[in-house]
Amino acid sequence: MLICKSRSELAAMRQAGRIVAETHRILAREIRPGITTAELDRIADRYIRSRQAMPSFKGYNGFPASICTSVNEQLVHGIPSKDTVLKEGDIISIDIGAKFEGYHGDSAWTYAVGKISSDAERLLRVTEQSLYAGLAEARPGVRLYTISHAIQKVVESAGFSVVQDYYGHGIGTELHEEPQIPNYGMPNRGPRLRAGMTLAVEPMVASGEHHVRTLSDGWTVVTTDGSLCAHFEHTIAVTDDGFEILTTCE
Amino acid sequence: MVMRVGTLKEPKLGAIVRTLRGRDSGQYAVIVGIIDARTVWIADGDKRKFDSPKKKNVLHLEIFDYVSSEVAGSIQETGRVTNGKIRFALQKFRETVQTEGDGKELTNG
Repeated sequence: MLICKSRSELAAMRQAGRIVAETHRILAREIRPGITTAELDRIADRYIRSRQAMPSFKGYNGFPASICTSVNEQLVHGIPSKDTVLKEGDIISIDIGAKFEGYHGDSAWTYAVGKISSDAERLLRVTEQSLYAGLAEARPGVRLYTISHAIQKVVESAGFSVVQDYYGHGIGTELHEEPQIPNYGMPNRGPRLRAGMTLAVEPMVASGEHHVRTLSDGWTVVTTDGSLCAHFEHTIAVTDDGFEILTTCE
Repeated sequence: MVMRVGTLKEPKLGAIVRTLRGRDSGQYAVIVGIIDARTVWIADGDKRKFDSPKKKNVLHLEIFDYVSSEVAGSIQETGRVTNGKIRFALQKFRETVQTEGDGKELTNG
């Protein structure tokens, strides 16, 4: 069932999204060689709670932290640790969720730790571009996989691979709602978008092959060939004539 | 936090799936039996016939909204389905590529 949110629900989601975006902004200033991912998690957890929100991920299906921190060949669901120390040249994907007055916001970004290679820079740039290419298709009447196709086209045109085992998703009172939003597909397919739908669109891109596996911790997903990967995500609301990014400070 | 493929969809008899793991990775098939919420039997009527289906964990499947009522109905009524009907269901799915179902919608307030 695809749920369209009311005006008051969207207001709560806008605030949840703002808190997520503010948390990203704070963490972006903290990312540097020598900091641990556990410290980033601690900073995020404290800030989210200070804004009268709750971290969406903590305890979700047993996830042990408030944010996901995935370094280099780790795609998603990396668990923050005092033993994971960032170093110059790393890339780190940080996924943050916050629940405010019963509604979730969810956003991920991949950051450079100091100076990174030109290949890594290109990976981050293309993945971010693919997110916005997908979002540009979001408006009422458009079929969902038109977004998926737009993402895939940008990624594969650049010679990168779309990870196929994980999707974006609807979002609201639940962190994961219908519909599933693949990052590949045929245009003009899938359910039609309606004003009020709230979606988390999140391309995940590998610089090598698209195959991934889960580590023995049961959470961290890595590329099977060890290639770098990136992840960018916004929560949006479909409006009467387009879309609104909810995970923003503006 | 991303969603693992297939985690929202309950497996249904007759549903079209794409395998994500194993030697048959990337292949399309039809659910011809449900063992429990996490395990199903799949067949494609060709390399994997109805009488020798493959057991799969639903987490290793992409489950589409497309359900062949002919396959589901035959299994529910007789306990069996012909391999021809399985192949036909997959062919019909390929012609539509992906579901075009709009789904139901609920507007709150």
